[in-house]
Amino acid sequence: MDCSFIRRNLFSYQEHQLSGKDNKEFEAHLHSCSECSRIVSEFQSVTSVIELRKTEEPNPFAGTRIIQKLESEMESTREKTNPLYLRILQPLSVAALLVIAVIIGFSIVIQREPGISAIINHQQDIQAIQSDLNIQDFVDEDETFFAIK
Amino acid sequence: MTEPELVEGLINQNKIAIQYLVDHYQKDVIKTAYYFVAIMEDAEDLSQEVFLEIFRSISRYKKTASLSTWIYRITVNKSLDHLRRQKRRNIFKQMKSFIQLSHDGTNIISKDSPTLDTQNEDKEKRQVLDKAVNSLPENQKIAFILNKYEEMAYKDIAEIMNLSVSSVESLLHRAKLNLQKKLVNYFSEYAKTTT
Repeated sequence: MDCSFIRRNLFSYQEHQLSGKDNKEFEAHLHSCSECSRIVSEFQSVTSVIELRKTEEPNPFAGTRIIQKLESEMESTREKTNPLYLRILQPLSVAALLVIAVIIGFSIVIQREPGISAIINHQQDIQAIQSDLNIQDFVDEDETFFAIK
Repeated sequence: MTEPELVEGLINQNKIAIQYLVDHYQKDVIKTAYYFVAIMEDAEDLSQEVFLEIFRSISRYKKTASLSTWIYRITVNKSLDHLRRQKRRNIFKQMKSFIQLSHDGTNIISKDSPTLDTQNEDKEKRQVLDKAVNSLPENQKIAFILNKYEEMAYKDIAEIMNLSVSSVESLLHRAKLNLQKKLVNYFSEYAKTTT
């Protein structure tokens, strides 16, 4: 048995997977080769960490923290899943309030600005004159402007 | 509580079902995550993410696999995501320290070379093993951890990994060969530096 067999079968030796004959030769080689013996001992020392890790236990309060996390998640999903009518009514009422606010604002501006109300009054006067002259009775639509002049 | 009752309870956000789920699976989830990430605190944080994922996607759980297999899959995926994020952070850290150290003119290589005969031998052994396991291809790493740490049968590993039993056997065989090679190289290098 040579050194390369030893180095290729470290797990097999550790897990008792070698045949009886191979196992005997493996151990005989270790007695005669100090380098392989050192490597096997280092290998066993490092892989013993696996067994050590299995014995380590998590924090006993880890479960409580998980439950708390799940409860806060439940709370936030409940907030997100409001009833359907609320999800429709809320944006609709906000939109309606906005429209009302714009209308109120616009009417206030019209009342306070003399320029705007003058223009509206002027347009109303023109309409009154047009109806008095009865322009539509004797001119074409395209010539309305000239007819008024 | 039977598995279908538990699933139904979780879908309905039943507090008893949630408590049952955590009581039954928290230890397995934390320990599996710990075998991957190697730091218990990180594994505990990860377990919160795992249970959140279970809670959020329980309605999509298909009964083709058992609940525990499904939970193991989520745990393995979350752990691998964590390792990927950590790897990216480490690369960034290394680049940062490289830039800083080269700016200072200090030697980078000799600073953290692992040695086995330091005060903290146990810590060193862990580092050597973790480094070797983490350098394995992802599938080999999953198969190795589930088999060697979790002591799972090939059939269960195959179910979690969605592979055939023979594929798992082959993955494990290759994982062990690779690990042996890496560890033997490390021990030989270590012997050279000490003589």
